[in-house]
Amino acid sequence: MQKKKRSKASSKFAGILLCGLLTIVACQDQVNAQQMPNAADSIYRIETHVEFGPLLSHYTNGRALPSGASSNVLGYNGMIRVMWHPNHLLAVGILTGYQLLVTEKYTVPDSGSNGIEQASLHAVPIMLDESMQSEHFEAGVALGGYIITTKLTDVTTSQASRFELGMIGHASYHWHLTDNLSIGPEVLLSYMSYRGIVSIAPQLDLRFDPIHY
Amino acid sequence: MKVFLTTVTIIVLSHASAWAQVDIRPSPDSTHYFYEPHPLQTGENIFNLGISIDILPEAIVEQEVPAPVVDFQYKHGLSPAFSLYSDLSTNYFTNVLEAGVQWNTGDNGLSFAIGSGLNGFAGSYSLGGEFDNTTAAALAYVPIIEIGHRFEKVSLSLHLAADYIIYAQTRISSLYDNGLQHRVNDIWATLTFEQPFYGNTRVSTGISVTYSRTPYQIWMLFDSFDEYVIIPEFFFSFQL
Repeated sequence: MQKKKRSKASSKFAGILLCGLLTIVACQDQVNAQQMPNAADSIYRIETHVEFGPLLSHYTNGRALPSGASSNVLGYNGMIRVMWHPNHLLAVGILTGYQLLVTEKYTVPDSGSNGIEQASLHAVPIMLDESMQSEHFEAGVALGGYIITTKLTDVTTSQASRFELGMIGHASYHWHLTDNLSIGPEVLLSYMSYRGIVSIAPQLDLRFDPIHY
Repeated sequence: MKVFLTTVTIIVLSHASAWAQVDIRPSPDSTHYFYEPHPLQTGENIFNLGISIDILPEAIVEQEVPAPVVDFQYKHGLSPAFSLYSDLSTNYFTNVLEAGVQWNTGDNGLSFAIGSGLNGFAGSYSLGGEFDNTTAAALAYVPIIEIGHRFEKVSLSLHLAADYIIYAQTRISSLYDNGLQHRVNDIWATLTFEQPFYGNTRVSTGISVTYSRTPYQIWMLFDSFDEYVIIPEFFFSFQL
């Protein structure tokens, strides 16, 4: 009860803090822009990244079920990042996507059906991303959480989801195909702290810049 | 002789042109940040406003919970060698004011500082019933060491600190406890990137990791394990 009350108050307060801070920073930037007109000559852009590739995950605390299951599993990852990149190294944006961490079939002797069950673990990251970019390199970190879903199929399918905190680190190298389009390899590291799952994903990152101003 | 003079003239002019190009670059010394231990100019002020988010540990809150606070930071150059610093962090329930003095040295690449300060903590909340008027207060001595390196477009700093509790009291209605006094309670390390973000607005972003048996961030929660925990903190702040 105590935690619930505090958590509600905390979330509301965090929202008010964030709005207030953004307003102050926006005003400050207006003042800076008026004082130093050279900054207006710089190029700002919106970047969209589409990334996909295999996902290798390691359960740091092991897997209790099914019996004898390996701690290392293979799945796949697909992500989208939309970033605001002003006229310096730093870019900020949002990251989301879909991860299939593991899907497995195993036998349960007393199952009501033929004994073959399928279980899988999926995650949808929802994070704020911050990255630093040079001409070709980009490295960043995304903070937020995952909506993690467990599915179990026997005769019917049971599904359970919950939100858990996590983070993703990423680094990539890009070659420019056109002024607005570039492509390159990316390494992505993901960490789900509550479950102790660490994942690494070699990705292909396709970047398109729809807006320059 | 004519060829020689012409050659010398061209070399001198090209050098002058090269120096002129060097001279028009903004002096790196004109850029100062809050976390970087680079010496400040006398009388120079730096103000930062931002948010820190601590991840409360699973051992205490069952599932990790983010706890935000707003930070207001101020640094003042007494001389190139000495500066004052202060940091006010609050989320209404928990309030921390830190202030101290530090000695800075270094050049436009590597810089270093040592300092010491006092850290005051005050918190209160009231849920009614037996938890009516729950308060906590503490005063700690905080020595710090900072090292920083300025790259072409970004500054990277590492800040190490510990606190020794001089006074502490937690009170629930008429019950109180002073058990935290006279011991080193927290050790923490902070890694910060500071750089221009948009226009001329500069931003500090980083991560801090605290190793503590009684972290102030969870003062209002009941700790049934009484063990050392690690609390990560993510923060960003804008230079005003």
